[in-house]
Amino acid sequence: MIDQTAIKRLLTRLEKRGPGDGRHSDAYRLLREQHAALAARFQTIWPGWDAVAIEMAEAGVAGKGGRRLSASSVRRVWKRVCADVAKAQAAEATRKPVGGKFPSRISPDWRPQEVLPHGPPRQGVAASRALLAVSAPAPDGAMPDFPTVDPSGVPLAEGHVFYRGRSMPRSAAENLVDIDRQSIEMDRFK
Amino acid sequence: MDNLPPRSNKPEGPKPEAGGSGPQFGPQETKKSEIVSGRGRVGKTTVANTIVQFCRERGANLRVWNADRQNETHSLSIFHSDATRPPTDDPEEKRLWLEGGYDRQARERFDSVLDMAGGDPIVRQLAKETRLIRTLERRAIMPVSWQVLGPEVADLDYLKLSMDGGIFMPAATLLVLNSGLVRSGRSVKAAFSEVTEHKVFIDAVAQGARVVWFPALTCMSGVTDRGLTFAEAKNGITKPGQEPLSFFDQTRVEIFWDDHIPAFFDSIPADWLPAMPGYPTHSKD
Repeated sequence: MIDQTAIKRLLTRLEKRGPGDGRHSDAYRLLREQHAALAARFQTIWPGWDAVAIEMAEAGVAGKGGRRLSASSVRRVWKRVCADVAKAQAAEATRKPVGGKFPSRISPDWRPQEVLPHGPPRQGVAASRALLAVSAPAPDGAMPDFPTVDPSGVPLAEGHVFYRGRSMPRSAAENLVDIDRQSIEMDRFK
Repeated sequence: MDNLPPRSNKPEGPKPEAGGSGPQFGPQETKKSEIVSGRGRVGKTTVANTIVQFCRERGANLRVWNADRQNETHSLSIFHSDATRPPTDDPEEKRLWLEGGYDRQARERFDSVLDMAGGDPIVRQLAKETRLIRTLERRAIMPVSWQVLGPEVADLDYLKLSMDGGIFMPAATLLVLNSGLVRSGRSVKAAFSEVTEHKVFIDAVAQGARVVWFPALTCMSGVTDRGLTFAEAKNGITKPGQEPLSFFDQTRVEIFWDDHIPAFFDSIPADWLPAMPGYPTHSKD
């Protein structure tokens, strides 16, 4: 005999979730909902992934399968959220208008940009890394690959990188990474 | 114990070295003025004391200026009998004392270590009035600012005041994170996260300040309360009437003094330090 109450409860929950939400963790949903606000905040004050993970865990947010969130898992989820948001925005921008053709806002002189081999890094990717203020993972002891453009994709001054929510000389960013690593080492031997 | 210079209308700066009469202004080697500052109770005197001991062990010719008249128990004058102090806490007398010291440093050519009282505005005031950095550099004296920070956000106040309007932030600025202030068993990284992620801190680093960790010594108070140098403490030397340090603590001091402190100085550009015969002079950057 099927329990009708349980089915009702399930239907209510599914209704609340909306289409496609079932495959995402609570962490993903929270970060996705708050993406704009968080991205703006991360640009001004970068709290660090440890702090974000602790705050989320204390708010009762769990990772996939109810696992406790770690700094690296939050960082991975955030990257996925940013990529999905960018994808959704791109899809929105290219969606064809329904019922009639609107006049083009693109200049009739526009031609596709020539793509050169071995050109500079794609700004979109670098900019999204800058927005996240995270760098490509680096092997132990090596310095991360810092973004050289700001979150809006504008290239920074020569020798500058985007780190901790602002532009700074590469040596400064490396110094900050170094002191973080040293503090982790100190904690290991405490 | 005071080492007061002779009283006069204009307080004198630190004492001249016996027989010392260096060259007058002209092409000459740059001398360093190590200025240790920060909020109260962050370990300024410990850091200043360490600089003096480390550099003197390696042959540095430096003068010790103790501007911290509030700290009697762990005053630099306890550890270094040649340290000089301003005659009083009066800001005007302090200013004249410091000006006299720099005047002498420019003429007699030595390096100096200045230990400031917690939050003391004397250097900032002098910097405002006289463009201190440029004034010293014209006399071939390079100011090196050691901003000592503990794990409290308020420890950044002094740094912020120095940075505001570019009042006093020399090209050679060190942000010294004192790991000795973290309670036993607590994560150093977590304890300092509020400070190291703060805008003031990040701005200072982005402007060229260099960050270094000052190593912890669990029995630091056992050494400083006895008024011992680190070399004395690791060798089990005590002053008359004192209990000796346990041999475990002696070993702790030995590790601190022989391993951790050389590594600490190794992380600082060598040309920001007082001249030490035999110490590498090239920056490790």
